[in-house]
Amino acid sequence: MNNTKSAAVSNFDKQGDLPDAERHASAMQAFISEFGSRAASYMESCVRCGLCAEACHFYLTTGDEKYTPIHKIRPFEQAYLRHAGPFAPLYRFLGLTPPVNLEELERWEELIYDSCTLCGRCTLACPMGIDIAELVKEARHGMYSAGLVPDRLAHIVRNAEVKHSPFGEPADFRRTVRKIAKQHKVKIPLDAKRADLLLTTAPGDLEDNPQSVAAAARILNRLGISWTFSSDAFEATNFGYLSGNMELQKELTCRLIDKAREIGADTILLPECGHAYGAARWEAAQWYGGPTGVRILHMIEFLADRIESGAIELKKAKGSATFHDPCQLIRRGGLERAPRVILEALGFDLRELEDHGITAFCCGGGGGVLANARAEPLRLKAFELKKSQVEATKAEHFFTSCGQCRLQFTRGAQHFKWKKPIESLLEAVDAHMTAKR
Amino acid sequence: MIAFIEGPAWYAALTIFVVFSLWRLGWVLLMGGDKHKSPARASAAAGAIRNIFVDLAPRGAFLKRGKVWFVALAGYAFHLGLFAVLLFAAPHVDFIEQKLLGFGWTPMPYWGFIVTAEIAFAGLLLLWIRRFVDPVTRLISRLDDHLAAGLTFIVMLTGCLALGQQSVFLRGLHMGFVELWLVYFPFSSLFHTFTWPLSRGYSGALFGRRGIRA
Amino acid sequence: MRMLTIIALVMMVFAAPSAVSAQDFKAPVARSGPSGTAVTPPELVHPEQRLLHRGRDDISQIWRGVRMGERGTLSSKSLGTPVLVQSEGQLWRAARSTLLQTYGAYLLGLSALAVILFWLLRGRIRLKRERTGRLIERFTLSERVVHWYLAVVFLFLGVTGLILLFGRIILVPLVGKQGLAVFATAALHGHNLFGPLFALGVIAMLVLFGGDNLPKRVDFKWLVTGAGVLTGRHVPSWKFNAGEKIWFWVVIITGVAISASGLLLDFSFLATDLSQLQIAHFIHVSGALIAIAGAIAHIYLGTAGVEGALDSMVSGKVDETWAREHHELWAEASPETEASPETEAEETAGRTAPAE
Ligand code: SF4
Ligand code: SF4
Repeated sequence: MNNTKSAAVSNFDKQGDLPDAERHASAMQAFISEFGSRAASYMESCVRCGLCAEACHFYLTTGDEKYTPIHKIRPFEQAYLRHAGPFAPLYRFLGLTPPVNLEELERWEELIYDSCTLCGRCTLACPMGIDIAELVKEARHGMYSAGLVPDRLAHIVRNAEVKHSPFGEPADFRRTVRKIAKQHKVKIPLDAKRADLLLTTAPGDLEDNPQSVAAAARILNRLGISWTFSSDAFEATNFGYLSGNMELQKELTCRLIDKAREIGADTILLPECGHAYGAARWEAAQWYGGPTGVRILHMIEFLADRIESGAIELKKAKGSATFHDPCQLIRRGGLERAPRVILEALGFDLRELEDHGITAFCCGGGGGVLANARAEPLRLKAFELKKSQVEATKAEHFFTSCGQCRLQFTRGAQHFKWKKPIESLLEAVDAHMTAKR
Repeated sequence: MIAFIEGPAWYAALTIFVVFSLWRLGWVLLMGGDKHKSPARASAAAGAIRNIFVDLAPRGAFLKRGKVWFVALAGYAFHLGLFAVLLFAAPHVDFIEQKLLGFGWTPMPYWGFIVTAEIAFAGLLLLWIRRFVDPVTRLISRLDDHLAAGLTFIVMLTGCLALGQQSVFLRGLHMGFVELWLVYFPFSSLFHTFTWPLSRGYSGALFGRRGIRA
Repeated sequence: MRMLTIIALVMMVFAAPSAVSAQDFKAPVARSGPSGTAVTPPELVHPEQRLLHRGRDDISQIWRGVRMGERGTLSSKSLGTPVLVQSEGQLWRAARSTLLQTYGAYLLGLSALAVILFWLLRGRIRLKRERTGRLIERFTLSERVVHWYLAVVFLFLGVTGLILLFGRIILVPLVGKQGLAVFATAALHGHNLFGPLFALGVIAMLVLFGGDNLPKRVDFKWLVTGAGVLTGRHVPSWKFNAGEKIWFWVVIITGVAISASGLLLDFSFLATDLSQLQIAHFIHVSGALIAIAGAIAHIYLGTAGVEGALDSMVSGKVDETWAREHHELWAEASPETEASPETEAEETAGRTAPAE
């Protein structure tokens, strides 16, 4: 254990060719601008009890204390004490806290990006209620400004910036959608001038799970809703949110909302994706700069609602099922009930994981960790934890409702040659929906 | 000497405590926050209140971990013991009546004091020791955390040594450390005494607004 | 060398009584008694003592008065005697001064001497081979916490206890009689307060460490060969060697004796006879002296005396080399241990332990 610790020290990537002093300055600038009353209250409350470690899958599966959540934001905390806190001049004058230096930021890159999925489980274990997930996300803003982001993640962000989406340009999207429509024999409205509902999607679904896109289209069609995809606002994934690139986060957020308003849609429907929900449902107003005027719904929220209203009727399925709660939907999103409504309507005998609901374990791939190639060993450890809990339920089906979780599980299953298919609630609803209208 | 400790020094320490505590709290509260919030699913205020006053025991899922039990039990033992002693030890009640408020209340009986003090001591000792021997807390503990624990321990200890109440020296020693503690308080992690409702409140508001565990 | 120490010891025993026999200690029974049995001449109670009246009996005037035949009231008659100074008390005082103080001082001195001798003979015991950098868990977190909890409480009780026992001799020359009164009342209250915490620590210790300290066959070999000091060859042992096991049981046995007798002294209304309290006091002090003497050696061996020992109780981990050199059988059986040391030594030559 000790050996891996010393080996992992110089694990960082650097982007751009900013001089060191500027990198450092922009990181500090961004750090400092993050502090409001909320973050400051968190900084002022920690008693160093270490309970947050007891919640974090990365600490629990490695036993390495450097994965203690509060430790992951140390440079951020130092910046607070020296430059933003109530006694900042005192700290600087007496040298009570060393200044953050670039080398430290480089060393912390791994902790801030590779070993935090922004899952928020630690927040629930902290006796002071400190929301470390939010703090890590805020610390990423500074890291991004300094050009200290894992290369793979930076690469995806660049794609999102120049090519509209990590998936590709609007033309690529149009081509893919037509292909899916043809292959799955489903009508997919694209770039309609007016529609009530704007459907969005995620690159993972387009590439690896096109059947999921088809399923969403089929359900919306059956419900007789006026909806559309838009080739210049299809991307629900927000890599700005994940990487700490605030401008990109803002741009991606505004793009969706502006498009919805343009076509007169009152609802943006998000795909089965966790952090898309976190970014759009809970942070949109902040980046949009005011009320968006559009309802933002996650797919499972939408489905559960239509099932309860009777609009969707389902044939009963057989067998037992278990469900992985995606962090951004459940613990951070408040949708704990929705997937359970759907599973019950589907007639499955639900066998909950040992840790489920708001204290479920993260899949291990959220928060940009899945896109970060070098984090694979850590990801696999988290996967094993989930795998053992799934196996313990002896359930026949294993469901989730987030494309990122699904991808993380698929890759983990490949690695460990685990035969369990990872199923999507959306696709299950599609498969069991009776054609009513 | 004792006149100084119980007179000017006491008032000076109290002043520093009050002034800098207010400064720190005010600073944090006046930093401001996000202007725009996405539409709430449920009440943020209810969530905050719930997180501050209701959800005070570790959530079930974490009780599978021994350390969570340990910190919860030792933590509550220490804090409850400390507050009981602080507010209900007979000499403290006398002191509060004579020097602070002008009125007092019924103190604990002697045996009650002994039991509570023992509980508080055991809790503090166990928590402080863990700081040194658990790699996690060893890594994250700051000098401040040790000073805070150490000063609190000394204050409690000198208080108990002065139990006989016939030595002015011991009484002065206790008072002296209390003053040191008061001066250190607003600058240290002891300040979590006042900030915990803020930080729990902010997180609770987030839970509430998002309808988490609605 | 051993002969020499024995001679020195015998000489000291004979020389000592003259040094301490003049001691004039208060009868400890009434001193540490709870409010129920305390003697309360009303005119001696100061107003500020009305609430926490434990400890006011330290005021020496009370005793001067008592010894001069002044009558007081005994608020509890459970001990069956309204006599304030009984003749057993005199006997008791003699036993305490000569036996406990004298032999106690020797015991502690002897222990310190033994440590010094051991240090002169063996020096700091260092690792013979290179560290492998691979760590084996020796003590779990709970074991470490309980160990240090007991250690801290023990040290505090030891110091306060010694002040109570030897205060007159050692402190009066330093701080004067007035000063001693302060020290004594402080020590007494601290001692009484921390006592129950010690009892809990002993129980926790027994639960956590008891299993690994049961005697095994190899322990006899370890003992017979004098830990290999005589033969010059290391005697393998399991997690604890016979020396450590003996220390463990000394801690447990004296710990139980000290706790039980101490609790009786704390709650002396439970006693039905004064002599019970006197016996309890005797057991309490002699047990404590044995434990302190042992602790002196234990502290030396656990810190400066043996390289890597302290670390095992702080981080809980030891290097594989340490495990093999000190507790071979345990190291072999540990799941974390890798191949045998010979092949390993070559592989890891030149590799240093990580800084953390
Ligand atoms: S659990 Fe909370 S208070 Fe404890 S160390 Fe972690 S962040 Fe700090
Ligand atoms: S948010 Fe999740 S991954 Fe990040 S530190 Fe907390 S528990 Fe660990």
